[in-house]
Amino acid sequence: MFVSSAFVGCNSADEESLVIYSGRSQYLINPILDSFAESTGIDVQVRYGGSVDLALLIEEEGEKSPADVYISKSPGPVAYLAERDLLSDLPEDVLAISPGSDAGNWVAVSGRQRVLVYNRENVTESELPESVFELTEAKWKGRLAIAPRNGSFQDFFTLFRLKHGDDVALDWLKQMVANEVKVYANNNSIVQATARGEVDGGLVNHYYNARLKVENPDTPSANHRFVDGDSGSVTIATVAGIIPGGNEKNAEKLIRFLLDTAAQQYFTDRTYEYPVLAGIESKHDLSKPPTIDFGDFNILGSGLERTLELIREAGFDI
Amino acid sequence: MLGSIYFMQEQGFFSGNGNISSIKIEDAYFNFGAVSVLRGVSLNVEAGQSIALLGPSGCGKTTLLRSIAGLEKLDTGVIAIDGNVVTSPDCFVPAEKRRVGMVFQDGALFPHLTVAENVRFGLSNSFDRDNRVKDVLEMVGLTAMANRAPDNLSGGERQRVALARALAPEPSVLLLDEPFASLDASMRVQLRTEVRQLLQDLNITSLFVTHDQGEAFVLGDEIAVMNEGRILQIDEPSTIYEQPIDPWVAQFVGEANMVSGSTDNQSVITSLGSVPLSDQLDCAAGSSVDVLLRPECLEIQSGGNWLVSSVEFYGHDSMYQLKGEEDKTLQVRSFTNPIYQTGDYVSVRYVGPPTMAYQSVNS
Amino acid sequence: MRQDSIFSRSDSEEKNSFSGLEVKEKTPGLLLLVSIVVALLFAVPFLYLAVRNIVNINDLTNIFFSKLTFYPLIKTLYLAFTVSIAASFIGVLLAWITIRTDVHWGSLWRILCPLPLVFPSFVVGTTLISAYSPGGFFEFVFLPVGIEQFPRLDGYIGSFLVLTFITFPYVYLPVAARFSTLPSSTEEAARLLGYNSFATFKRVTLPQIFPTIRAGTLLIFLYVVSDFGVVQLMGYSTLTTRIFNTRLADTELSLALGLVLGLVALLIVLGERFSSKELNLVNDNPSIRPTKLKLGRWQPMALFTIVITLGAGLFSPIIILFWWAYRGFINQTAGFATTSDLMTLALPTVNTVVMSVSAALTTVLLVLPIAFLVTRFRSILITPINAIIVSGFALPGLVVALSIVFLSINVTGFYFLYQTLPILLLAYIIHFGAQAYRTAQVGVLNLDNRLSEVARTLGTGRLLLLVKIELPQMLPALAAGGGLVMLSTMKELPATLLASPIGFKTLATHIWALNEAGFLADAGVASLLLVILSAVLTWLVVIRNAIHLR
Repeated sequence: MFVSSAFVGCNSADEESLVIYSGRSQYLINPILDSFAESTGIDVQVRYGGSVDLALLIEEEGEKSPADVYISKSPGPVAYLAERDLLSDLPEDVLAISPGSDAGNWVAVSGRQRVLVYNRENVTESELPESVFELTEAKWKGRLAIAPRNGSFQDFFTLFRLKHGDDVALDWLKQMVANEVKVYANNNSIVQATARGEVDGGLVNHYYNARLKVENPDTPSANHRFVDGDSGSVTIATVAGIIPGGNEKNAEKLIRFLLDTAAQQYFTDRTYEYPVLAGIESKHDLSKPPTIDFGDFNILGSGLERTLELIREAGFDI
Repeated sequence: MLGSIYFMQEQGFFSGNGNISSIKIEDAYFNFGAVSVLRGVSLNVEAGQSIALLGPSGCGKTTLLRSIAGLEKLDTGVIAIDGNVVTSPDCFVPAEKRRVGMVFQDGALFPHLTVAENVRFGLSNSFDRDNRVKDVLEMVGLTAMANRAPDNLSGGERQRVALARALAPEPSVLLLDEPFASLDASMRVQLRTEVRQLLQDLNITSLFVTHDQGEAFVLGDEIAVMNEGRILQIDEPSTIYEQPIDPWVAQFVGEANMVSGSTDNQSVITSLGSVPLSDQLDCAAGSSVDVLLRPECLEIQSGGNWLVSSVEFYGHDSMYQLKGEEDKTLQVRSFTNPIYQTGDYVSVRYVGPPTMAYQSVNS
Repeated sequence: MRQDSIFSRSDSEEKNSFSGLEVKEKTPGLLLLVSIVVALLFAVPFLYLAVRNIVNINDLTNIFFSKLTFYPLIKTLYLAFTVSIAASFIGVLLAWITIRTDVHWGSLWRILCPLPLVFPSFVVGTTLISAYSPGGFFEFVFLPVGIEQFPRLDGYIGSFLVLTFITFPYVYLPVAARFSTLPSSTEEAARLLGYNSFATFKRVTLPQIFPTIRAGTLLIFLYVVSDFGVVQLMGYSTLTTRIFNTRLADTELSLALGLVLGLVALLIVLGERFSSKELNLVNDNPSIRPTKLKLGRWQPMALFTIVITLGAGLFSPIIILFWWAYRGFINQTAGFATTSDLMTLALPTVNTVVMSVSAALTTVLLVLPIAFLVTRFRSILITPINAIIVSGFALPGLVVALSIVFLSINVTGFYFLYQTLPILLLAYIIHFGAQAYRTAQVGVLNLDNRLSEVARTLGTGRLLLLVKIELPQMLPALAAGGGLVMLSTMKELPATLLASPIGFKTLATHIWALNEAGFLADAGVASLLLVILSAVLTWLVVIRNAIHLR
């Protein structure tokens, strides 16, 4: 018995420790976790992995999970855990800072914007659409890309169908197929295909082109934001929740820290994300300050299965 | 024993369509990287003749054999089989078109085929394959093993299959590369006798590589002794043994006492007395020479200044090691049971035929 | 008719049972026990899938026979089958050229040929798409030959090409090891019996190396079945992509498909075993140097074949990675600064070396008893044990990782190992055991029992016998299999991410994290380091031991 406690001490309620499972990439979030550890003196340990895989891991671990905090790069996996009662309730004041779930067990930490990435050599500015609905027009035939197997597209499409209804959503997606939309694996491959000129544009999160511009300032790809309120310009949030049974006090501290000014400024300056806290100015040209529209998170998680059905019905093999 | 050969001849074992051929090698050179493996080898094997290539390992004998087979390409030199040039600086007939049979040291049986399938492998459809396989297996006494896998054969059986496989397509010449090297001693003796019988009966041209003198004497109509990429002597086995061309050959083909003396061109005067020479020596009378005395050509008598330092009894003969003045040693073979014992003093005299003498190295 | 012959039948020799195949004795209890324990470990992912599916037992039959299962299953089998054929062909061809001919720079090619295996799937996929898609990096090279724009690299063709060029080492490595010990005398004998080079290869060489090829081909087949990275990037739906793409939104379906995949893999491995004769073709003699064919005017053709194959599977990714790194260097990207701090790479590098080498060693040691059991003895347990070990390779890495978590969380006595290096090692062993297992069998078959018997008469104990006499004899085969495990471990992701001690990083997870964040320059540098590291380890661990050439 004492052998086991020596090995698994990390998940006990050690005052000075915190275990984080992060689906958000190490190179985007680690500096802010380091500064949390430094300012609080808490020993922070992080397991990085795919958001979905970590959610499945937490489910598999159940009560024995060493994780205190779970950070996901999209709401879907957090909702999956919430549905299975694997998240603790958050305090009211935390929930008041940032949009979160109705049930009150997870909050948004930062946001990424859905945009149309396009190739400036093949698409003129006057051509750019105001709404995602315009992409079914004949002039876009064979020129655009989507990533229907990717979580961020599925999140976007879930919000889309919740806003307009399944019929409209399915009809839109079917028209996209009829318009010979090209299928890619993920945001990154769409941005790169656009930069190569393989496609003229595609629906992605804004981050990847911002990053590509750092790697290659000459890239002909650029982000275009649909008008405010359009379903094409929803925000996909990075979200966090607390796993019960661990060091909930420190977990809460971390979530507050992530929602505080310093962290929010870091996200906007260093990882090109949109802040969830009002009054943070970005040093980057992230077009204009976003209208935070996180949509209806609560249905996002459990609504994914229906989303998958519709995507299949539109003709995608997923 | 010979019955089966008559049987084979009745069955047309030799189709008689000119598959007994000569081999002619002229001035063959072969280098492997910086190493000269063959340095000007010439050799004639007449049709129906069996020649043993005898030499220590690394002397180039296997390379010569493989060059005849077409498995190696000479740097310069010409090889002709039955008068047709197969290797020359301008032409190279690939191995598969040479009609050369070869038995490898490890047998090289195809492990995925049965014994019968191995033998059948080289038979073109001009043969009545089933019967040919049957005949050849019968020839090597392995009819009962036809359906065995090579993995389940003894070493001797494997080499018989290898021989049967090589002979089945009626090759124009047969090459054997140390075929008995992997066998134990008694099997080796038995198989070599049988192979000799077979080669004689088939009257096939064969070239046989070995480092074992006994094998060479038994199997070769003639023996070609090789060392360091050259053929030193080609002669009948008895000539090789009795009249080796130089001391190295003399010592390589059998036990040899080299005793110094002075010559009068007909004989050599040694401490053992006068020894007759088979050839006149081309040197001044009174020159100092080394004369070859085979151990069995010496006779021991009791009393003398040679000390018996050891006696080995082999059954059919005995070998005495003698020590003389100035640490000289002699080997003497006696075909009687040992009469003398270690510590006895004896005298020795030469009783053999005229022998060879060589100019002393140090004179 | 006289039946006698000049050859007497009275051989004094009796057949020595060298091969061990003749003497299938009663299985020693200890060996059987060890084998069962090892096999049980390998069964963990299957047991996990079974347990997790029991909850939905009612839906299971519906899912099994739905088109959600059927279409991806057909597509999976089609891709796996075609890639297996093509990659095996390439693997054998390259093994033959690099071992059996005097091709220029042979020793360089022998180190490079196994390396395409080391890239994480997503790295090869992404880099090859960057290289050979419309607007791709290499378009300018093909302009002079009249190709203005590449077709899009995707779908079946894309998956087929990429997987073929990265999986051929599964055949290359064991076949090259076999070629290097297979005496060339049987081939020469065939030549002298009238067969030309091609016919000789077909009738004599191929049958002798065929069991080795088949074992490698099975690995390729199972690898393709389990691959996620490439097929997902290419947009080709297989069982594995469906398992991944539905694992959150429709967990029941995902788990059921996992079970289907496991069962299909078991069936394929069982079928392969029943359709084949035993591996009894042992004719190796490491003391005889195989003669090398002089290529002469075929030399350029042979070089061309190697360069094209490695060009696709190794050089192209490397060039793209260089390009990324170079671009990052020129633009002084923020991310590039993290790599310039060498400590960021040092620890993952050390971890990668330690884990991949220990995974190779422990896997070989654990599958060895089973190899002995299967080749030397008869037992009804052999067939199921064989099937479980080999088919585990077909399961997606995520399933293996989760099953290991399941084991340590739920089985008494394992929890203290949770998220420790031993349990991570166990995950590697379970996932990659198949790669070492078949070659271990070849190693056991190669043992010369006469040597062991001699040693025993000298009073050598069983363990000492194994270490002193038998392991050195089996080394070439074991090194080839261990090498495959090593290269696979170097790129492994799901188990390392989920089952490692917290904070543990390897080069593969480092590259993955950088790629996720779009830090292409840093990902390029780290991937290049992974390639260099794998080349060094391949030489040290594999080439020196597995391929005997002078």
